Amino acid sequence: MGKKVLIVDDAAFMRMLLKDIVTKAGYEVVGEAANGKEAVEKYKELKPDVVTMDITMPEMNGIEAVKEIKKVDPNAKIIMVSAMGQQAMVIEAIQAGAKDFIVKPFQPARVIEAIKKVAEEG
Amino acid sequence: MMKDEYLGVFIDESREAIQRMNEILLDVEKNPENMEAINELFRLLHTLKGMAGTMEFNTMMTLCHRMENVLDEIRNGRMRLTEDIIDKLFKGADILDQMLDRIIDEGTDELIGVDVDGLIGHFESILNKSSMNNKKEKEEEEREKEREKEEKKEESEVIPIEITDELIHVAKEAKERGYRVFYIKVFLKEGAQLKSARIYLVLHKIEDMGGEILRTNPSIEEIEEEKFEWDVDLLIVAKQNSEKLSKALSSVSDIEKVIIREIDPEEIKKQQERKEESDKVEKAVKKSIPQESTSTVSSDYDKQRRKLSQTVRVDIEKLDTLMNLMGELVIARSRIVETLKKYSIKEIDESLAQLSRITLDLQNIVMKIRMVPIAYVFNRFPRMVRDLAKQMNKEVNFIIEGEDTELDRTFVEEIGDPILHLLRNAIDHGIESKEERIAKGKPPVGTIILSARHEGNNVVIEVSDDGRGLDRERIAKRAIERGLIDEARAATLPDEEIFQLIFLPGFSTRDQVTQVSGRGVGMDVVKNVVENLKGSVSIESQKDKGTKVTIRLPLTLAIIQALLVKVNSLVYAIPIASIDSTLKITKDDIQVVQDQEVVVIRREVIPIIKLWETLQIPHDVESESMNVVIVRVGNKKYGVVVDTLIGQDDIVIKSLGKLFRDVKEFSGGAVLGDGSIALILDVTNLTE
Amino acid sequence: MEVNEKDVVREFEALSFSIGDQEMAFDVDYVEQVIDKPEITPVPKSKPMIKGIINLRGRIVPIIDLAGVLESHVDESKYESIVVVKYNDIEAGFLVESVKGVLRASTNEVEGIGSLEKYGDKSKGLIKKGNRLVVYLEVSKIIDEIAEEGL
Repeated sequence: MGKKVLIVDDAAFMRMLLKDIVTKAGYEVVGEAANGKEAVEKYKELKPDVVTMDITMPEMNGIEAVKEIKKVDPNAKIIMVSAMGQQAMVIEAIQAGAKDFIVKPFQPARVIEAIKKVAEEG
Repeated sequence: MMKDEYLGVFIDESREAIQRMNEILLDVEKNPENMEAINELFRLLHTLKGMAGTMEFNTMMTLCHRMENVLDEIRNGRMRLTEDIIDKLFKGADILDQMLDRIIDEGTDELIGVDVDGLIGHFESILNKSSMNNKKEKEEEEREKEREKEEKKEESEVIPIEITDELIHVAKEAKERGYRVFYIKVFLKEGAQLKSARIYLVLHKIEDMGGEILRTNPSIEEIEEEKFEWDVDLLIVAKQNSEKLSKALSSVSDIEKVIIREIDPEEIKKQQERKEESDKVEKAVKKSIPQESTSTVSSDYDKQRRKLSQTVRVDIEKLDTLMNLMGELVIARSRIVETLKKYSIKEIDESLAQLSRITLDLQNIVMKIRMVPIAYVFNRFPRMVRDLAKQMNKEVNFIIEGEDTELDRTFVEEIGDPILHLLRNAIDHGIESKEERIAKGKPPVGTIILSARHEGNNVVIEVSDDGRGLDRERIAKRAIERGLIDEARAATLPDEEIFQLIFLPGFSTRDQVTQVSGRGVGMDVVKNVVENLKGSVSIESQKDKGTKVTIRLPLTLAIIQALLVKVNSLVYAIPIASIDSTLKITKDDIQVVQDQEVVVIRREVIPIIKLWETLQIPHDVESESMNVVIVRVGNKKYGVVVDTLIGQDDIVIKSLGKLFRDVKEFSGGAVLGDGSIALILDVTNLTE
Repeated sequence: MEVNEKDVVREFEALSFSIGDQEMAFDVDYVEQVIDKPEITPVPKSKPMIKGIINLRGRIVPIIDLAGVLESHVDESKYESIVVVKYNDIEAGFLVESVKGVLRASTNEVEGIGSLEKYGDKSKGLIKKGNRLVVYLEVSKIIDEIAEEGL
């Protein structure tokens, strides 16, 4: 039953943190991507239920990636992972179709709450 | 005796009332025309009088009664609130507080060596001067109550968005197309981050459902600029019913609650017009102070009052037991997960995931129960600052920010004194005299800001003043005198590091008896207390601009997030809060600078220690590539080299006990999911 | 009225165990339980007689090498059990070879120190029971001594 999650972040440490949190809550991390480009490819390949998306990344940033993924799958459920002070970018991502966002540094419970809510939505 | 049953409640409530009195008095001192405040003061004393009477504390009752009488004269405009009266009211609050102490200790409100009768007499003579009689008191009070009731009723009905004719027109058209008009009030959870983006999610959601936003209060532009507190008013049209809307909007994270009402814009407009009329009348009657300031003050009062009444008192011991049990539960859960991993039984996965989520939720709630608003600590400061400032002949505007910030209740008792110390320093040595400030071209009244906020897993408390700032030369001179540093080195250090010297134990001087405080006196104590609570303290200062001391505390002491690492076969835990980053290096990345091994990361030179060397444990395998955990201590960073990184975990901190008091390298131990123990590294003590 | 303590005969119970070739005993009042030796997590930089810590039903309990405290030496592989004691809020486990059982004795069966001088006040004397000679240890003194050391 475990929903499939794709983790996108350019920092290995953050990916590790998120993976731990997500796995512990009973979700399956089907893949990780270190930039937006990889994220789009992985999304096509793995068809995850939920994506956690960092904003600032090399190659292609998180907002571009949201736009690209939405082209492939308008129903994609993407949660932005933002740092404090990235409000404008988060708003842009929401306008591009991101479903929720979490702010670094985050509490594990917040991450899970966001995934749960987004995943359960029709 | 039945009375005893109520004594505890009496004491608690009276304390709260007296605390509140102090707060209001401080406010009234600044705005003597604030009738709302005087009314509340009157009510507080009235309640207190009633309680004291029931408990047969007659002196207390009499004092309350006289104070109440004086306030009644004032609120009815028969007497002016003078500085003398305010001082006496402060005095009264103090005596009431002392009476409570005495009631707790001795069971009587008779104070020894305090001239209570003198004060009561003073209030009486004030009253005698005011020749008016109080016959109409009751009637007046009744009328007051009536008016308040009416006000409240109206407030809940009037919508804080101005309904224009244009809006009515749009709404009418929408209605014809099968839309309904809704007024929505969205409350964000207090402390929610990126508030604008959060509201955007809400707006987006409404649009996703085919709805349309007609108006927002504040405006969209203001929302984008985060110019709002925690709530936003919306006027929308949508085809769904309010239940569906409510469900959809509540599902957005960080939303505390959503109020939705289907409305008829025309009706609302009429209501608003009525309200305007009555406001005009009221204004004419009151013809007092600037309207705006009173209204904000009074809404704050209400907020706080509601908060106080909604709390439940819990025995601390019970809380601690709950916390311990919670810890055991977390461990047991992890253990089940570990064990089941080996077998991978599909049917259990779902219930296990649920169990995990429930445990997580439960853990969060238990943590929250342990949290109390920092107002519990901050409450007493306005009064103390006022008294200290008066005593030292300084004029200070004292501002408190973020008093709703929550922190672990364990901190509440500990952190008060250090903060008071910092405030005292700020008043005594930070803020200059009025003349000096004018000469410097600064505002004549100094400002001290005490603020609290959450930052990640930390509570950050700041005391800042706009005073004269730290004096580099004087600090250096004293540090040299005390042999803490030599002259040559003092000359080379940047200001920032010179300022840190005041935290050193030897820096303090207590030999000057007359000195109330000095920057530096007892700063080592401040540092000690904070570090014992696993926090840190730092100071920034600029000449003639001011000084800012920042205290960082962890959110809680009981459960922390930690990175688990391995050296040899043993697991160690490093609190995530002190980790900057992790990285892999090879032997060649290590350079030696002044006998210290360092790595260079993004042009930053970071010293490293090998954990096995620091802990003096044998370690023969030294592979080509190594894992380094960069940790932060104050403003400094260093790297801890370990064999492997295992991953992140929530751990329940347990003390190692008295037999390990001599071991400074560990702050405790934690039982892991498999039953083994990880020692928790105390990164502040690994390098020396 | 003055009572000479030596004249008052009192019955007591002690848990006896062996360390090295010596039988020793703790007053049962201090003993909480006896467990098989589990995996011990060493604590670097702690005192030499502390062998580490164990997880005892969620609690962290230090494990003490009793032979080390008494300045004798025992091959560590011989340790099989741990006697868990509690004194003054300090819970601690002592490594022993094997536990013999509870010994019932009266104070007139305890002989003064004499030959036991090397244990100082860590011992209350020697229990003589037939031809058994049991070193009667004072738990409180041992724990106090470890706690104080190095401070």
